[in-house]
Amino acid sequence: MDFRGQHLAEKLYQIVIIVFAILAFLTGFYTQNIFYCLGVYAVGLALSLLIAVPNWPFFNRNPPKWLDEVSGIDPTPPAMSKFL
Amino acid sequence: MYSWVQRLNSILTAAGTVLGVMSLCVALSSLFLDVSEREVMNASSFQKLYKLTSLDTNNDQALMYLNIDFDLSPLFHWNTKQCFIYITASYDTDEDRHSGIVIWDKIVRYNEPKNFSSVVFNKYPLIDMGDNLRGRELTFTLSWETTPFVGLMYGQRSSTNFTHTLPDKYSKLTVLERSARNRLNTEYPDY
Repeated sequence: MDFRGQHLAEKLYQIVIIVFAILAFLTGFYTQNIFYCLGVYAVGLALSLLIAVPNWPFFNRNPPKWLDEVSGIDPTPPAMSKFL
Repeated sequence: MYSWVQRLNSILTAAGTVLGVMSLCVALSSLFLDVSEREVMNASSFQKLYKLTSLDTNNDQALMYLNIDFDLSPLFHWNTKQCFIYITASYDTDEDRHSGIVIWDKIVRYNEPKNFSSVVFNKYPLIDMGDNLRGRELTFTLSWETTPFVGLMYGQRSSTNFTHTLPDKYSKLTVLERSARNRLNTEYPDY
């Protein structure tokens, strides 16, 4: 995952979990059944895991731009040559 | 967020924290959904005294049948897991002591029928510390303790209770009980 993808993944799972927590509380309160509350929350948790854990392609749309390779330069810097 | 393991850890931790906050909200919702004890129907009454005797330890014991009729459904909202309901027989004694003894109890769970209407016998015998039960007026109180799924337990007492006055004399023992009593009293010498 690139950096923008990681940021997107974090925001996505936070929003999904909080929204499903609110929905779960309202569902449980309306049906007066605490197991519906926990069930809706479990669905939200599973959905957030499905969205954010695997390395989906849409998280890799902004790969970091590395500098081009420059030829003719000794890869060892002069200060390090005394250790060679 | 650099590896799937790190993302898994972050998501599960966040989910645990949000679950904690949601549980707190569920527990707070109980404050609005709990009812006072007046809403609970209690139509219990005294049925019949089985016997009032003096035990070998010179303590009094009373056994009785009670008509128990209650309906706990107003107490059961989404955060109620079970209700422990019990009957206390209480009385004042001559020695300036107030005694209360639990004589019957029952656990009512959220997935069981919440009403109960039946004749019950002493689950636990009413034994006094002494011989104070003859002619005593007993007050039978129905109380319950509510266990939530999330939150604090609380106890309440029914607003209606019933009383009964015990007879002034012990019940007559059966022939078997009398012979057992005589056998016990004569066979053990004082050491």
